[in-house]
Amino acid sequence: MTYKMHNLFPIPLYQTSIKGPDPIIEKILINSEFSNFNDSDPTHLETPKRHLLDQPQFANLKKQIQEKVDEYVYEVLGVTRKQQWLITTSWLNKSLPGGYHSMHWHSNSMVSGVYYLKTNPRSGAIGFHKERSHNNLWRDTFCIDFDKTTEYNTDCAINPKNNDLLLFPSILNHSVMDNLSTEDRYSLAFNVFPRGIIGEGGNSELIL
Amino acid sequence: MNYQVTPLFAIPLYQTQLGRLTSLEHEFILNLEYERMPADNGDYTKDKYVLEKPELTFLKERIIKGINHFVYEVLDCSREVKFEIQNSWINRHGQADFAGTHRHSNSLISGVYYIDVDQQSGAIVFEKDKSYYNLWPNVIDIEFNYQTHEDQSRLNIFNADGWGIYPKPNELIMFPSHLYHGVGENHSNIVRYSLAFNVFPSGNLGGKLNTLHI
Repeated sequence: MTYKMHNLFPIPLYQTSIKGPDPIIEKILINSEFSNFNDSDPTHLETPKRHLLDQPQFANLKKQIQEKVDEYVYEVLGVTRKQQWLITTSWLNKSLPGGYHSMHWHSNSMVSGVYYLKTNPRSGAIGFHKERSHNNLWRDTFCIDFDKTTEYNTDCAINPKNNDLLLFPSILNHSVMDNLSTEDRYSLAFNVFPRGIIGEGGNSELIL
Repeated sequence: MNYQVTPLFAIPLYQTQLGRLTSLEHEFILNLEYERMPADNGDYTKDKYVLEKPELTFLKERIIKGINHFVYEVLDCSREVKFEIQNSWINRHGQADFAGTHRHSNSLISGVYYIDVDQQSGAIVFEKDKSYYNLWPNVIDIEFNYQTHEDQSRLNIFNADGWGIYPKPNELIMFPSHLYHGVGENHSNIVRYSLAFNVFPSGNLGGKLNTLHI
């Protein structure tokens, strides 16, 4: 049967790769101080420093990421250039062998992203999860069984490679699956928020 | 530029061609009894189960084939569940008639089969519910290029608040019934006829827990 599907109003998950930092900077990043902030995820560690990319030695990496943020916001999403979409917080994640990171989303942020510094095919996919209230098909009160998983009825998982960069709306729930490899997994997470005048001239004007 | 964008958790809107009506089917549809809608913006048949008429048996069979393709092949629903057409009616739009934004209650899948339409007889426009967000909560009102510069080439499935389709004769479209939609004004010289229907499951719903037999 010849047919066409229009996929209406999906959540845009952007994937690209960047050159990344040079080996010396990569080593500095990996040797950062890490802590555990969540008792339920004892093998998931993060840097206490939450503005890593503001440090001068990481300026080049920040510039590479900012270029991709701009591409996502202005080109893919078609947002006007009236605001600058700037990286606010940024930190490094370290997932030990056996580690994982349970489902979460990023608060006080519009766009979030992850840059993969050191990963491998067994060190854990990132999963994106449909919010219960996100009714793209039917409400959860109707429990229809499916024979197979399709893009409409299931969550999404991506196995990133070194130097991959993912960007997505911060409302999107995500998690990191078990690190089944024998190596530590390093990724840099960050949040983005617009700066400038939003809704200029109207009664909803907001100056940030 | 070397990137890919994955559209996560989209609302599936299905579109296919069913083939032409016979002249007898066409004549039967045009000669049904119509009444003005309460909103006074179009007419519909008094009979709200027109696909049960013997004269439209062949059309109903073709629509069922489309429904089965959508639910079992595209959505991959279990064949333990049957999806059956419930109510069905013909909409008739004369000049300047339209359909305001609405959704279909007591239904899981809704569909429209286009009988007499042309490019001026009104697009069907699907709207994103205000409580549904694929980007950001609506309390932050970010402007897009297609809004401020009216550059429609910058409109896409990610940033659109609505998505319009100009249907062709004999096309069938289907979508989840909760999806809001409306029809633009008929600016054509022809009267616009379309057949709308609702679909509801029957059989065993759910697995081990929360089982429902209807």
